[in-house]
Amino acid sequence: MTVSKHSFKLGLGSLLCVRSLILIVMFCLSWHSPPAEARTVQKLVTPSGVSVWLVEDHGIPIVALGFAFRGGSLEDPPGKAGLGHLLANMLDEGAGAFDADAFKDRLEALGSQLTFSISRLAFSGGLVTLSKHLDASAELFGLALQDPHLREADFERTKQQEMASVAFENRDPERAAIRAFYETAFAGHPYALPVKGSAATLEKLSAQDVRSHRERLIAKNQLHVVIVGAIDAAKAGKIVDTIFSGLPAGTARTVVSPIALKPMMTVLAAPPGQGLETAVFALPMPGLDDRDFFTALALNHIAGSGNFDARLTSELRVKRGLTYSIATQIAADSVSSFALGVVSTKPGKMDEALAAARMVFSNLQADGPELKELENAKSGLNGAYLLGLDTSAKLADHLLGLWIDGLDADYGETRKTSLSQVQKADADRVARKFLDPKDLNVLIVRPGTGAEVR
Amino acid sequence: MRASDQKTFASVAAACFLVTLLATALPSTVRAQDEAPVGEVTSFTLDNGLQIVVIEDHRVPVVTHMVWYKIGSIDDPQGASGLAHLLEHLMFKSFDAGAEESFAQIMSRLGAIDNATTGADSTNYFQRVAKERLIDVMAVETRRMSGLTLKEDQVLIERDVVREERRSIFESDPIKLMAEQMMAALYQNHSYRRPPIGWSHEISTLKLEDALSAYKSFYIPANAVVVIAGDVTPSYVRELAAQTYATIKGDRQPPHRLVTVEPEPIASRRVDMVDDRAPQPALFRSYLTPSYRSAAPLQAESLEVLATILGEGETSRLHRALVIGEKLALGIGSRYFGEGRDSGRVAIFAIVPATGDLQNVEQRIDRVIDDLLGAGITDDELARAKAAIEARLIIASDNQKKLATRYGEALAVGRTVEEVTDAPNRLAQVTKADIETAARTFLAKQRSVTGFLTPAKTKESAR
Repeated sequence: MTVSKHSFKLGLGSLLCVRSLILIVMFCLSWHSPPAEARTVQKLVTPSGVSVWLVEDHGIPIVALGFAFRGGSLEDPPGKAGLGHLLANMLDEGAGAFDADAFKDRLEALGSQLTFSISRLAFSGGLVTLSKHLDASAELFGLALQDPHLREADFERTKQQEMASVAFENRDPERAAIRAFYETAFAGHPYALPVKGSAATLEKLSAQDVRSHRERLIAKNQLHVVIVGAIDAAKAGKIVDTIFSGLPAGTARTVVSPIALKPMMTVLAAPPGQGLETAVFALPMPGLDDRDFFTALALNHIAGSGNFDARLTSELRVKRGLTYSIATQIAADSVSSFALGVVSTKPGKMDEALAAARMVFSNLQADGPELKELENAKSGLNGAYLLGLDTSAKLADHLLGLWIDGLDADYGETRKTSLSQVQKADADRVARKFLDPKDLNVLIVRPGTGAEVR
Repeated sequence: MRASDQKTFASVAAACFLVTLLATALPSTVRAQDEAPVGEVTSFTLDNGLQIVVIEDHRVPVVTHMVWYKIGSIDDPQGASGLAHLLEHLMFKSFDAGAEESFAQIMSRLGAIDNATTGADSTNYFQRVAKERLIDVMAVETRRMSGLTLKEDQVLIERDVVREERRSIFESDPIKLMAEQMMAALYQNHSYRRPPIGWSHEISTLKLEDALSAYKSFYIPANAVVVIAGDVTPSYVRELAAQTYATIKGDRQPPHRLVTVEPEPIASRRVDMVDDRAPQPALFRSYLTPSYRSAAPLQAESLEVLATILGEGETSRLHRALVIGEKLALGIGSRYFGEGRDSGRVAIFAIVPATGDLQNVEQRIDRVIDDLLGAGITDDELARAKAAIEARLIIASDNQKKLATRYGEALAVGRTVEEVTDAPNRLAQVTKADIETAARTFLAKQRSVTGFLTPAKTKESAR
């Protein structure tokens, strides 16, 4: 067993599918003098018209392929939250000529790994395979998308597993608190609905729901594919068409209106036996397309990177020993943009912890960051994105994320340039506007009576 | 990082298994002179006794730098569980007193991703940086290996932080608490029975002088291994090491580390925990086995394949019998933990529907195991399991940090570079007879602990 010193355990995990935490890792096309196998992105269109970003890399004989198309959990019909997620979990339960057992036996014999997942706005999937098994794996991948069985018996089992999984996640105090935060802060907006659904919505789903949802959802709506690995452009085009050319064009997708967070304070009772208090707190931030976004990114790093020199960590953990971990991340997409933080402490200490956090924001708002802090934040953020992209799988994942957010493959360059241009005066101005502790939206879950966190 | 898409790939690549390299299987590509293929491993030892391992990966201009110290919770003195872990926390305060720049500020300036972990057998510090920064992180770790100054109040605050860590990570999660209880029951003599983070009541009594004394004995070059993976060559790393680590005196021998041997188990044990925070009943089963380090040839590899056939993924025997077939469990899996210095285990974990019956589940698991012991495994199962493990090995070699961890973790318990590098070949040699022998030897009831985690309500209705 391993004990981590300061894991940045912002429990966003797959529970929330906060789509756009693109801020942690960013891609840069060519930084430093590129090594022999420089990772440049080739932009291709396959014979059947699918757009592909390819990074050819023969360093290791594997291929990582990811795809995404528009159509996420926001397409779940009213009262059926979690349907898209359940569908994603069922696509490998038998397809084409293979029943569920045969499909999985074959996948294991190839050593290939196939996954499907869903976020609010997009449906995505990935394949990691040895190059020598690419053709056979692509065939299975295509079958899962185009001809999945979605049988009654497999449905019932998967549904029970999903309900158990949601129940387990909700027993994690931080995950439960974040989920409750979304329900409260976005009440009345589709973003309040959990991507995986709840016990109540999952319970009512039927196999027929899943089958009809597949017909509507699995389609080529703005389909985009990213491939990283030991494969050339011609082969990449053939493989992509094998997998995707049989899919329908798709129907119109749900349009969601932007929403801004409001100041709020909510207190919920913890389930019996929970021996700690957890708080989720958020501040509105400039949107992805706002020129102040990168300044906000630097400020977020200064306050909440989770490193020991970050102001929140320094005040709450290093000086006061109140918590193991406090970090904030900017969750930004076309619909909303805010910095979200989570902190846990022992019962009776949350008021002290939150007062310290307010003081951090208040000081930053009044005086802005120190010059050295700002420079460290800029270099730290610029250094970190490259570090996150050292594996083929992570690179493919990252490129796909850029596409989902409507950004280009060279976004890393834009980001790097924009960050390096952030000046102290910008930081002071953005801090004054956005880091007002009065704007905080806070949800606390603590032992006690009253409405219980679900 | 984005949550759902991260799952798409990261969790796939996270099949945290035998990471190793298959340099011979790689196609030749154009690369600069003296740059080796991905995964080429070189090891050398400095005069002061520090071993340095270089794993080349020239695809991206990034390096992962790790220092592994041969100290873990098994070295915690009686009554001071959690000491090695507290010391790891305190190492991050090493420059705070009087220094111009704190450790955190240096990491921040370098744009490094850094962290540390404490396990039962070893403690690991790592940084990931652009390759030009490697010299800086080597210099920082050289300073941390050369002297630690601490003040009493730093220790008091950090003890509180560790208690918060225990509270938020372990005590809020009945599954993790149960896992601790399982280890405490599985090991009757070895200090693997104590959690690396320490028992809560002992964390509160840890002392500054004990931490400093552990630092003095264990944090020396001859008791450490440095692993560097990334876009660097061995000759370049040698140059950097000459300016940094080589300047530390090598005047002390590695400390004596107590080796406790577990008695041959003669009685199966049970752990029964009721916790109404558990949303579902769960079943745990652990069998005492050797580790890669302590096993006879091919025994550990056989256990690895055995655990794969028994409970790895949706093609496994346990999944097909209990989840697909009789629907007694919502999920089930098994895994071999063979990384330890002195001992290992095969562990089974099942999540059961709220209306389910743990005793039924236990009986069905036992039947699956009895079938395997009686009729053996099939050629097809063996072939699929080997293919899956081979693919996992190659796919894992895509990941610098995992490769470095694989080597560091093994070397820190006294294994060799050759053993790690040769792992795929030895896995390929495992036969049906090897696996069946390992199963008969180690999946014996008296070697096991069975744990029931029950939410209070289910417990009452079952009575």
